[in-house]
Amino acid sequence: MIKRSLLFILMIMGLLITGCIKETYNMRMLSKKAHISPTLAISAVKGDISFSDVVKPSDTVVFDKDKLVILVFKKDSVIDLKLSDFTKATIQKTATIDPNSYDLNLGDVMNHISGTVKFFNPSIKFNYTNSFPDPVKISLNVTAKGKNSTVPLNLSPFTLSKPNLPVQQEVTTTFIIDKSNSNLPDLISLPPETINYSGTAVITSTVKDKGIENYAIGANRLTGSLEIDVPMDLSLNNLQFKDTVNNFIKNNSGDNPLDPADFQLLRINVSAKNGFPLGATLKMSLYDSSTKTEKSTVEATKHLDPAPIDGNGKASGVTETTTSFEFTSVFFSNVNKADKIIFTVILNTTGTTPQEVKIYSDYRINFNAALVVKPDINFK
Amino acid sequence: MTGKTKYILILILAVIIADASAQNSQVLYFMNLPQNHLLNPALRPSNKVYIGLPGMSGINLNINNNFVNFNDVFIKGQPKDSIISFLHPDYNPDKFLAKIKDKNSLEQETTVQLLGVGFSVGNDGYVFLDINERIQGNIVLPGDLFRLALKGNEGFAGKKIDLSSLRGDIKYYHEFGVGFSRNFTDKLRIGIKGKLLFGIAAASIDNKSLGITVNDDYSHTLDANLTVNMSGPVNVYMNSKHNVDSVVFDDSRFKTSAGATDFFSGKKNIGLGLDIGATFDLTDRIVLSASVTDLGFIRWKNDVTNLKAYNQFKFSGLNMLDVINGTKTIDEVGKDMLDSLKNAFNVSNTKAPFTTYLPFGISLGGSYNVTKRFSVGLLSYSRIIGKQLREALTLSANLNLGNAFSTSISYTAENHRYDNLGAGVAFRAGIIQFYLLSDRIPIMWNKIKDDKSNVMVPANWNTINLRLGMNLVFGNRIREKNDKPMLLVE
Repeated sequence: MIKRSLLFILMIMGLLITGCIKETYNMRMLSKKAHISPTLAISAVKGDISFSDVVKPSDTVVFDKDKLVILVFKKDSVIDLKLSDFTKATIQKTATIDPNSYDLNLGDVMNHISGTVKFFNPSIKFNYTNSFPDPVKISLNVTAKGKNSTVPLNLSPFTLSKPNLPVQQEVTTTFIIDKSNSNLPDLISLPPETINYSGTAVITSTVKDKGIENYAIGANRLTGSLEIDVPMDLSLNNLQFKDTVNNFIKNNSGDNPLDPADFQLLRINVSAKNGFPLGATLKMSLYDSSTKTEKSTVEATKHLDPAPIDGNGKASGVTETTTSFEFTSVFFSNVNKADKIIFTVILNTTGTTPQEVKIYSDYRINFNAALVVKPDINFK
Repeated sequence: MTGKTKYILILILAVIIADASAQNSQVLYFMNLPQNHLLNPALRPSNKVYIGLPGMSGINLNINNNFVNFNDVFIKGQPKDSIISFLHPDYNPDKFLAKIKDKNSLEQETTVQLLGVGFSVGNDGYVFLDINERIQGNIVLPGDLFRLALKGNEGFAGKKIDLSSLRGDIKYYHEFGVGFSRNFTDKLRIGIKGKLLFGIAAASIDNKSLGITVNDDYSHTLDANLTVNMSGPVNVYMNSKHNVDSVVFDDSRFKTSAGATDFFSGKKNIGLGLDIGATFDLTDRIVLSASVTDLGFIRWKNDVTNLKAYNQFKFSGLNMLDVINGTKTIDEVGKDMLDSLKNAFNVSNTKAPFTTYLPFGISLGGSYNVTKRFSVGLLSYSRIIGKQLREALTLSANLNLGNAFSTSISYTAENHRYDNLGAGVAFRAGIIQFYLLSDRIPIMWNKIKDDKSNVMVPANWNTINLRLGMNLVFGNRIREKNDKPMLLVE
């Protein structure tokens, strides 16, 4: 029994010492390549932002009592006529409003814009002070020059108010030009880079009472200014803004620790609750200006949907959208082949056929943009 | 199904379901060795007296891990002889992660018996004394930690990266134990051992909560209620922002023998421990036994450092409102966010004494004596480490030839492995008794070759257990009856 047990124990000991070789690992053949490629996601930026957070009220941007956003362009001294400016005719004296232009300084913007925008209720306030006792009739020839076309205002001649002599030496009032008396919506919807105007002012003398005749031939004057009000009551149909910038991602020096080639994937996930009746699509293209080719394009998987509107064109809720921009390895492989990046934003108002919407200063958008990256982290 | 069968099935099922990873010397339990009182103080050897010589009496080494093996880390590739690591680009990390559990533990325990003495008192009494040096360490790494490192956090969207199981505990202490066992009835024997513990150094993580919630929008909420307790020759320096600046090992105390002696005495970190056990002879052939061992604690008061991080912080991206308003630049918003993150997890450094508890074990055993010298045994060993239960179930066949020779072969289901074949052997030459045993015999080995050497490592790393030593043993309380029968019938 003892012998058998000892034999058994020796066998066990033998196994312990020698055992069975399951595998032989030749560590000289160990590959030194080692990497990890985790997919990391983190909320990058967020915001709950109203229109008034982004755009503060100013001389150019005005919020009316209902918070409707109105763009205001003003030009002083568009007209300054004295009696000496008029012809010496007895009955009808005529003065010429010299040709002039009003540059809205939109030229740079207009170079980047295409698509259709329509403003529904623009108006021009012609604010004037008139001391001529006789009726002054103004004929204005106004045309607006857009990027590709010119639109006339088609404003019929209008007669200015005159002072109620002798108790009133001059009258200060406003003549409004809008869609009821002109082609103004089409003119503003160009949208115009410059507005050219010229015209005439005609005074038609009338028989005066003795007592007031001297006023009619005194130091009479007509001065006026313009205020163009463009309420954000509009529709947009594929209004596209395109801008080209230098390729800031390109690794020119080679000393950038973040080499785009180190990323298998970079994705920006955007979720938004859009309270604006404007939808948007964003696109980013790598552009090689030497060959004039787009090397790679990244665009949102889904465009940002506009908010619904009520019967008055006012947003009546929010629309939730989740979209993402995926920068693939193909994109990164083209980064250093492009010298420019073209950003394109396309805006549309609510509706399959863009509807008239109004932009109020208390509209909000709540958004969250998360960054998802899949880096190639190589240890060797 | 009979009652017994049902209970056996329930027991087996419990072992399979439990996080099976215990740490013991299962084989030792049914062997005729003086050291088996370490597992149950009611057990006693057949020798009347034993003396364990300093340093030689017993060395016990246990290393357990429940998740990784050599061939999980290094994989045979193509061409045939090439080897790739699990981080190689050609290797699918999902295969590695498939091996990862929710709680991945790595444990080690080393016990060196400096002195052991045991002797019989009267007819059935047995007194024993042990002085042991013990180093126990365990760490639990949450599975989510591996998944986070290899796959990233995107897959956790809408879930929590649960790191609450992160735990670590290591301690080095002296154990002075004195025990006694005796029969209380003809069938019942009870043993008890009291232990005085002197802690030398310890570090432990008290993790009440730790996790990162990844919301669907990829905002993150970090919450932590974590304390790292340390007792040892280290100084932790904080900076003005209440963050750990540096950790410096204090070697000045070891420059004098008095300082070193004072440190290694462990007299300022006192603890108590208790082992208690019983055996019951159910029949002439069936013996049942039960014990609770290593029930105890150490109160650490010397060189204490407590680093506590407690807070919750939500990161939901840079708020662009301030940037759009023009009140701040994006750089300033980013800096504010980083400052908030840093301040949210200010670490407090205190010197409050802390308590660590020993991982305690519960053994339930039964043996059936097939013959006088041969028995089979069934042993359940449960180890409770903090909130975790580890379970092992061992079947053994035991041969005890009096004082001269003892051997045991065992099969243990533990540590998610069901192929643990163990064996132990002890034999006596004169007054010297040698023993060697292992709960898992590494039958399969891997040969690791490099330019300079060949190294054999067990193919399976889940359980590495080895206990060996040498005792001086005297006498034998179980005498063979050599009397010749008075009447011999042919």
